[in-house]
Order: sequence, then structure tokens, then C-alpha cells
Amino acid sequence: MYYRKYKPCNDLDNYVECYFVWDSEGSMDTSMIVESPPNGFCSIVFNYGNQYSLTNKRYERLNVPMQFVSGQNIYSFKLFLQGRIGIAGIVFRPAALSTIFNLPMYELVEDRLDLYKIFKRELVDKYVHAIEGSASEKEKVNQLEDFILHQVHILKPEPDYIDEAANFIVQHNGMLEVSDLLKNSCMSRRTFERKFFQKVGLSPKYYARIRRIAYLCNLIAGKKKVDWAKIFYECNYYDHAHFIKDFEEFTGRTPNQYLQENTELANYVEKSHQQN
Amino acid sequence: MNTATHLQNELSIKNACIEFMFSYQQKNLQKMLSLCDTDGIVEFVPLGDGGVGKIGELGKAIWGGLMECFPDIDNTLDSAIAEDENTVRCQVVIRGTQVKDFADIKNKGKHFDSDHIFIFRLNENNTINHINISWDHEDFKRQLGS
Repeated sequence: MYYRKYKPCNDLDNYVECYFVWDSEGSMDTSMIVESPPNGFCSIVFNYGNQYSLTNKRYERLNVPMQFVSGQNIYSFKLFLQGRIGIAGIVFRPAALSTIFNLPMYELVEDRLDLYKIFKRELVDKYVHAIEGSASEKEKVNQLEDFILHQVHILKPEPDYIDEAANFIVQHNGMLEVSDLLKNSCMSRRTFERKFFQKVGLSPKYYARIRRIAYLCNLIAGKKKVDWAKIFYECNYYDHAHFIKDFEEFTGRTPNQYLQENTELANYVEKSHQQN
Repeated sequence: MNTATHLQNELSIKNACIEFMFSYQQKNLQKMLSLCDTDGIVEFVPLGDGGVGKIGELGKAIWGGLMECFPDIDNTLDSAIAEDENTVRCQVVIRGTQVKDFADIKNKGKHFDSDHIFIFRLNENNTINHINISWDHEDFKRQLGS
């Protein structure tokens, strides 16, 4: 089994964070549960393997559409996978789905929407078949890139200050003064917050909190022991109480519970960045 | 590609709730009420039994009172999550500066900044017919010097 990430071409740098391909290379003998903390990104996902389900705060067990667009996840969720895993996806920068497709992103928070509701069936099917039929990971990634390049070519999106501000939050892993972004926006606070809410799905401050937790979860992923003092420092928390509040709100567990229950994921998932 | 409008129509249960919060931000009480069934119930949870009443009566009185006693009242909508087909949970930060006594809270000219949870229930016409509002009332009073 592999899970690999790929960088986009320069033309898509404003919109795409990365592509990923997750493949079990055949049918798995046993079922698998994988947990994912919020990461601050949105995605379009094509599934060429077996259908899987998920559990989150809203759904006890939801059969995930085979191809879907996903908005911001605020809370951790669990995927239940069995049979063949064959998933390829485009991970978008926080405001990009709105900038490219004019989607109201607040509608997609904590939700997944069937791609057939957004794109013509023939278009979606064309790419699913192409990804499924690709002989290599590289070819699958090329199909993902072709899909999004085609859309950008047709729709001619124009990123604005909200894209810039959201990307800045990502770049700083949520550790910044959101009021500084407002100062540079040439907008009133209300206008800035409203536009950000439309394009990212959340308020700037709340998004920054999620992004910081995402960074923190990435720091502790796969570890059995953590130097929490060092983590507080690296993640710029004022105090223990703020840290615990954010951690429990977004992951649903205490930091130690999270460590105990989440280490298994690292045994399954190989993470690597490769140039496309 | 289908249009964003098409998508919005299909997913629109959040729209009334978001519009409600934006109208609150603009202190447009009439607009807030126009999004609701005024005979529907509002629960200001920390206020106990006295905090339960009709949206068009108790809701109107409390929101109107807040706008009068905190004329710069404002909010930031952090998130709006559909909990089921008829329910939307909005996480909101409300802030304002007191200029008049509000209920049992004497005016000391202080500012508050308080996390609120609004849980909206909507009917089949996307009209809000139930609102449940929670916040840390002790902290709210403490910030106002009460």
C-alpha cells in the first residue's frame, strides 16, 4: 500500500496544494480504519477502488460518494475502508474552490458533495476511467492535473485578497495576528470576514485556529511520546488551557488519548512528497 | 458545470441562518424576524425558564434590548454546520460595549466578547422555527463588571 503526494505545476500554484494517490495495490485481507484530523484544505476526490464510509460528528456511518468535493473539515473524522483502496485527489488551497468554481464554501463545511451535482456526468466519468486505467501513479497524477488545468483554462479564475490572506494563514500554520491581515485588506472588518466566510467557509480567526491544530497534529503524527512543552512553544500557544480547549474541540479527545489511538495510522500510511 | 446558484438552491438550509446572523450584525431586527416564524420558540439557555418564549415576543424583546443597550453590538460568524436536514449549528462571537443597564446588569461602560452557539431549526420552507442559544453567562456578566 502507498499514499503519496505530488506537487502541482507552476501554473496551478495559486490553487492546488498537492495531489495524492492512495492505493492498496490489490484487495486488502482485512478492513481498515483511518483517522484524519482537520487539515485546513478542501479537495476533489476520485475513487477508483471500493466505496468506503466515514464517521464524523454529523454522520454515524456515511457512505461517501465515489467522486466528491469536500469542504473544510472542522473536526476529526474516521474512514472505514475495505477491499481495494484506490483514491486519487486534488487538494486545494483554502479559497481556491470558490475562486475557480464560484462555490459557496460555507455550504460544504463538514460535508462532501457528489461531483455529479457540480459537473456533467460524462466529464466526471471520463476522468474516473482515465485515472483507473492509468498504468502508473504518475499517469494518475497527470489526469488530475489535466482535469484542473482544463477547468482553470475554461473558467479563467481571478484570485483576490481573500485567496492571498487564506494562503498566508496556511503559510504561517495559523500562527499570526489575523488583525494584520485585515489591516492590509483595504476592507472593513465585516466585509473582510464576510468575503472570507463565502470563499473559505469559516471566519479568518477560526480558520487560523484549525490550521494551527492541523500543524500540531502533523507534528505529533505517528509518535508515541511527545514533548508537549516543545509543542506549545512551536505552536505558539499562550497557555495550556488554550491548547487543551482547541485540541479537544477539533479532535474530540485529550492530547494523550489522541496519541494512544492515532499512532496506528502511521504504520499504514507512507507519506512522501515528490515532484510531479 | 452546474451553476453555483443551482448548488445553493439545493443546499440552502444554511442561508436563512447566515442571513439571520448578518442581519443581527446590521442591527436589522425586522429582517431577523422576517426569516423566522414569529410564533416559533427561542431558548436563551443560560436564562433558564425565563429565557424561553416566542421568537416574535421574547426574541424580539431581548435582541431589541441588546441593540439598545449595546449600540455597537457586532458579531463574527465562525462556522455554520448542518447537523441534520433541518438543523444548523452556528458558532458566533458576539461583542459590544454597554451604554445602558441591560436586565439586571448595571451599565459600567464595559465591553464584552463572548462565544455563542445558535442552533437553528428550520421548517420545509426554510423558515427558522426554533432557536436555541447558549453562552457562558457568568463570563458575560463578569466582563461587564456585574
